[in-house]
Amino acid sequence: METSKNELPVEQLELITQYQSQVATRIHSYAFGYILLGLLWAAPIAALAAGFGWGGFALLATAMATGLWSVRVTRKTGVRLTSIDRGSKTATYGAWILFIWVLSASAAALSIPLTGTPLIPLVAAGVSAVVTALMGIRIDRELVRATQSGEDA
Amino acid sequence: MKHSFDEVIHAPNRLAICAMLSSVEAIEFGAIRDELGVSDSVASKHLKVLTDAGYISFESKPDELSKRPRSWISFTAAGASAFNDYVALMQRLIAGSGSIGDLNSETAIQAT
Repeated sequence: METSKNELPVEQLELITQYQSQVATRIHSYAFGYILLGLLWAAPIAALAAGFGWGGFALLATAMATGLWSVRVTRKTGVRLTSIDRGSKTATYGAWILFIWVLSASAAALSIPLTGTPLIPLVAAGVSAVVTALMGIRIDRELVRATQSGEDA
Repeated sequence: MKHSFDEVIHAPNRLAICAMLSSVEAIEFGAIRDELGVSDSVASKHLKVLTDAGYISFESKPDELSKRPRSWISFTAAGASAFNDYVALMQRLIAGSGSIGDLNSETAIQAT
């Protein structure tokens, strides 16, 4: 049976693209999820306003919640992503999340004995929450793009 | 120039499985079955062909919450290479370096 020259390979490549997109859809999370994640990780910083003890407790609770969330997400999607390439945009966004969180937490921790006001921890928590959410959304976009095109993130 | 399709990868369901595996570390069996829209037995049959060819590997891990075993499938190096070669072949065909004549069980194609 004669097949037109490009018909079969085009169909095969379209099938590949279709299923890569389906996997990308599985790993995609909505912006709301990243906003919640930002708030979750801002909680320990904000809790410093109530004292170092509360900050430590909130940090422990946040770490446990993040671990559980991560397990649930992997379970639900049924997908394990490849390791993130150190030089990738994904890694850069992740580094920004970590950097701003450490900076915010440090500013909050140092401000308590100096000023005694809860304002700085709350502002620092807000900054961290916004950066985490924004970078989280960008990470999601990068992971989806890489998965759709069959690349490493 | 002669080109040969990799018959293991060429079948639509197996090509779909390879496409899904191509950009992730591993996919769980249930996710593959659901994305293909087939039964457990059909999915298993195709996965067995890929396993016998040495293109994929299975890892059984207990679920972190329920502790029930879950099967995770990932490409082997040979499988990833074979898939990349298949994609490259398709792209070359589209670019016009070969043409498709009769497709038979040997899956040989010949250039004009």
